[in-house]
Amino acid sequence: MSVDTNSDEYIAALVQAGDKEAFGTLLDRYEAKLLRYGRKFLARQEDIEDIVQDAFVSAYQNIQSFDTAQKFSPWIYRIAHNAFINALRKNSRGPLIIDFDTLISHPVYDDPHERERDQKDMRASLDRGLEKLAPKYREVLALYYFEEMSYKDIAEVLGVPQGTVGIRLRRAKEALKQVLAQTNG
Amino acid sequence: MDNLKEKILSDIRSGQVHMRPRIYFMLQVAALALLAFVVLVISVFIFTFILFSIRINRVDTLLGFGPRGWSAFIQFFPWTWLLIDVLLIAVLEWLLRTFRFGNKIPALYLLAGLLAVTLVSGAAIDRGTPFNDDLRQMHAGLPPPFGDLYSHVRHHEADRTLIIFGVPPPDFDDSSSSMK
Repeated sequence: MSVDTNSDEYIAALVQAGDKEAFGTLLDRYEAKLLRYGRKFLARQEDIEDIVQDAFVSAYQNIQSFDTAQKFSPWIYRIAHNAFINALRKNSRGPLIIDFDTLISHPVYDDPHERERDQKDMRASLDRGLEKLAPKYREVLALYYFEEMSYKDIAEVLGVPQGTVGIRLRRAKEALKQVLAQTNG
Repeated sequence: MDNLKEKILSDIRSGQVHMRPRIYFMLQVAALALLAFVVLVISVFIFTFILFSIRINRVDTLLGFGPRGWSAFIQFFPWTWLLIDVLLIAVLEWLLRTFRFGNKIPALYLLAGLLAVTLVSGAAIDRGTPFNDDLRQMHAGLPPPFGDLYSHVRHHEADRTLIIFGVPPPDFDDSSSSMK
């Protein structure tokens, strides 16, 4: 069986076992995705490419810490996400803010039908207003609507409880509506 | 795009970028777990010492003396130890959040759980075992800082009476005034 048809986790296991070339398949699969995700945070293409390159290097260096029983996608997105957030922080130094959404649990319900219904409308809205939102709203919207991740995977990427993803997504949509209303009005 | 892939792969092939061995991560997790355990043990120890200090000085009985008693209670309460304990629990929370399971639990719930574990364990050790009393008895033979900690745990009786009633007890030996 060709490496290309195997799961990410299987290929990651090959890399862990010493197959350096198999890492190329993971690069093929995730390079465009991570570059697209980076564009939701940063404007300069060169910066995004540098960060994605660093993220892949870090992923290779740390691949032995990846548990192949888990999904590979949230793992590599988390590495890239942390790198993008660090780059954002470097560009705009602000005070440390406690995120109250992570303090207590919130009921969570990831409805695939609702996702399907508003996917198309939201993408058009996101293209117009995403960059005006705070990073914590930008990241959750980008992962949900563009990367089409589940609440569970988004929680893994962001390192927050699943309930926080639900409440943050709801607040992000409200913030986006306000931004679009201000832009249109 | 292919440039990025080729550059990373050539760096990997040439050995410029190398994979950290699995043992590195296993040791990292083991070190973090050990550190978290040590911090937990210290925070439980400090809390059991706070309870012992309250018990041996009968600071809790001060609460029955009205506003003056409350004021004395606040004055006698080992706030410094409590502050150190709270800081240790905050460190413990931060350590546990580096693990996968730590991120899945809302921050306040994890903090509440750690506080509960510390308080219940500390109370159980102080009230259910002779741990603190034994340490106090053998304080002279304890290594620092435990020796000092247990030898100075008992407040002078006169201090308490002075604070609550504003006058020294009849048997109070005030050496500074007797020198005058």
